[in-house]
Formats: sequence, C-alpha cells, structure tokens
Amino acid sequence: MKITKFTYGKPDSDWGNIDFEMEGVLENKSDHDVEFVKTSVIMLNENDVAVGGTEDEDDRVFIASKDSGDVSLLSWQSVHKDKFKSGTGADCKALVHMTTYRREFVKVGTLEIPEKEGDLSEIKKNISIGGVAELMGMSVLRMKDSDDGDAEFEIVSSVRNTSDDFIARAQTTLKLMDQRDAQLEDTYDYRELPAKSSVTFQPSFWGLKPGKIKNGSIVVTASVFVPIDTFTAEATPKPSSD
Amino acid sequence: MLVKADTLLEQIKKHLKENYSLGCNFTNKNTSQKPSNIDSLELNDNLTVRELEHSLGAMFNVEVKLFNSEGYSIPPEYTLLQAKDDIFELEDDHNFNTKIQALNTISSSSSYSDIDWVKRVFMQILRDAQSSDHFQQIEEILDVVFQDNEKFMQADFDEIAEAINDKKLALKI
Repeated sequence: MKITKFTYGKPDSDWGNIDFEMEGVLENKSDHDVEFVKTSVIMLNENDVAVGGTEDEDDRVFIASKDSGDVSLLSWQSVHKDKFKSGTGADCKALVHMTTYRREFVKVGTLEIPEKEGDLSEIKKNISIGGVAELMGMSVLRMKDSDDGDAEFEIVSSVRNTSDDFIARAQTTLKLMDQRDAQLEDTYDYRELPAKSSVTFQPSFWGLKPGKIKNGSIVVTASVFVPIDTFTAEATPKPSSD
Repeated sequence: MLVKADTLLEQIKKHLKENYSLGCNFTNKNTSQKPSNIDSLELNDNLTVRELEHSLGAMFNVEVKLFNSEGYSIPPEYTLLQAKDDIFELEDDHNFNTKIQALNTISSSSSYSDIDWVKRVFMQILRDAQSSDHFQQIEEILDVVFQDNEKFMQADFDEIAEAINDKKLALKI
C-alpha cells in the first residue's frame, strides 16, 4: 500500500478544526480477489501523541488478484488546530493500518415457510463456508400472527468460526419468495466473528400477510470475509491546494 | 418519520426497510453516552446517509450502518432517496478502470517514487486492454507519467511503449 495523497486544510473559522484527506493505492499481490478492506488511521501531533483517529471499512471495493486499485483512507476527519503546536496540520503524522479480505460465499439452501402456528421448518445440515466457518443449519418457527394479522416467525441461524483467523464479517442473507418464485422480502444480518467463536442471528421480516406467503420459501445464502494481507504506512501531510 | 429520543431502534429499522428498502445495523459504542444536542431527526428523502448515521449515532450512542437491498454499504453522500435505488455492480471494464484510476492517482502524486510498481501497473492494465479506446487511455497516462515524474526514465517509457505496441499487434488494433 502506498499513500498517494495526504493533505490538510486551513482551520475553519467557526470551530478551529482542520480537515484531513488521505488516499492510497493498494497492490494486491495475493492469489485472492480483495472484496473488503478495514482501515484504521491514528493521527499524531509533533510529540507523537494521539490527537485523532478513525476506523473504516469498505465492502464496495474489488481489486482482482495481482491487480492494483485505489483505496480511500481518510475522509471526513478533522482535528482541532490547538492540538498542534504550530496550529496547523503541518505537524501531523498519520499511522495507517489496513487489512484486506477475500469473500467466501455459499448457497445454504431453501426452507419451506411453515404453514401454521407451531410448525417448524429446518435446514438440518451444517454447511461449511469456505472451510473457515460453519453455518449450523437454520430453524424457522411459525408463531401466532400479530394483532395486525401479519405472519410472525422466529428465525435462528448460527455461524461458528472454525479457523484461527478473525472473520471481519459473517453474513447471512434470507430472501423470502412466494409460490411463483417472486421475491417478496429480504433481510441481512452480519457481525464480526473472532477466531473460535460463534454468532447467532435472529433475522426478521415485517408486514407479511399469510395469504401472500402461502407455499412460499426462504432462500438462504451466507458469506464470510477472511483476511488476506495486512499493510502499514506512515505519512505526513501537505497543504491542500483547495 | 420523526425520530425522537424515545423512538425504538426497531421502529427506525422497520421504517427504513419499508420506505427505502434499506437494511440497518446498530452496534453499541461501548462508551458512556455523551449528552447529545440532537433532539430529533426527520427521516426524509433528502437526508444523506452520512447525516443519518452521524445523527442517530449521537442520539442513541450506537454505531449505525445502512446497507442496500443486496447487503452492501452505501456511499455516505447519497440521500435516502438515492440509496433506495442503490445497486452495487461491477461494470464490465471494472478491472481496467480500477487500474487506470490507480495510475491517475499515482501520476498526480509528485512524491511518488516506486517506478517498478508503476511499471507493474502498466503491465497489469495491458492484460485487460481490449479496445482502441483502452489503449488510447493507457498511452495518454504513459505520457503524463513520463512528463511529470523525473524518476520515470526514457528506458522505462520505451519498455512500456513497446509492450503496448506488442499487445496492439497481437489484438490487431
């Protein structure tokens, strides 16, 4: 990773805040496509003391294996001028950490929508997600309809991290289909998943009329983001040309 | 919808889902709540994702993340109305365009000194170049890099130019 732009503006007249911007270029030397990055930046003053910082993540990045691409490192970050002896951003130093992730995706399966209160529909098998995590099936229990006459469900799925890696995002996606296979609703849940730990999702749907979902189904997919590489860089800013 | 301090987060989730097809993730900040000077927030079409995430975060002491109907996060400058139709799809020329953008970024950086990497990116771009338009873009950037970066020597320029010509010949362009 190379930092290609790191600039600071003039302190704003109202609050005395200095805006910083930073961009970089990432070379993906790995055999995997990068589909997710997590970035953290620590802003230091002339005494190497932390005066600001930020953490960010980007799931809209795609840098193919052996390719290079731009990464946004810092935006919307400001530090008060009085945290620097000179009162300008010239004294700032930034420490940047970035981790790139690949995506492992799996089609889990399809569940029939339970027809009446007390019915339970299940995906009974455990599904491996890229050999690093496991989805421990899924259950959907039909509950009593709500006072508004909407169908209610209690849906549970669990994912466990079977690897020694930190999974930045474990995600399940549920798409509710009617009997003609048209999508009615969808819901997503995601969480971080440290090594050798698990997470239990309880996704929900709203406003489902029983007649509409009769003979319908729920299509389930899951994905995890697994680390590829880590990068660190240090930079000092230049005055912004704006 | 007018969000106030006593509004349930579940109600906000439901509103965003029903009106904007947006998912919403709330995560506790694990810090003591600071008094917020935001009493209420109107969720309307013109509110940006950044404003929403910032304001709700301050009101409820949570990290807020919106995502679109495919589960991808949404650019913070989008309004809720724009976010409603947001789809994240890689364009056909994504890999080519990504590297062109990277080279543009590199060439505009006066401090840039890793010439080997610049040359590697040119070679990577050539893998994806398929049309005369692609080659025109590459040649234009090559000229800019050569002019702007004193560490990019004539021999470097010639090496890339030759590779471009070889690929053009191979593709009969």
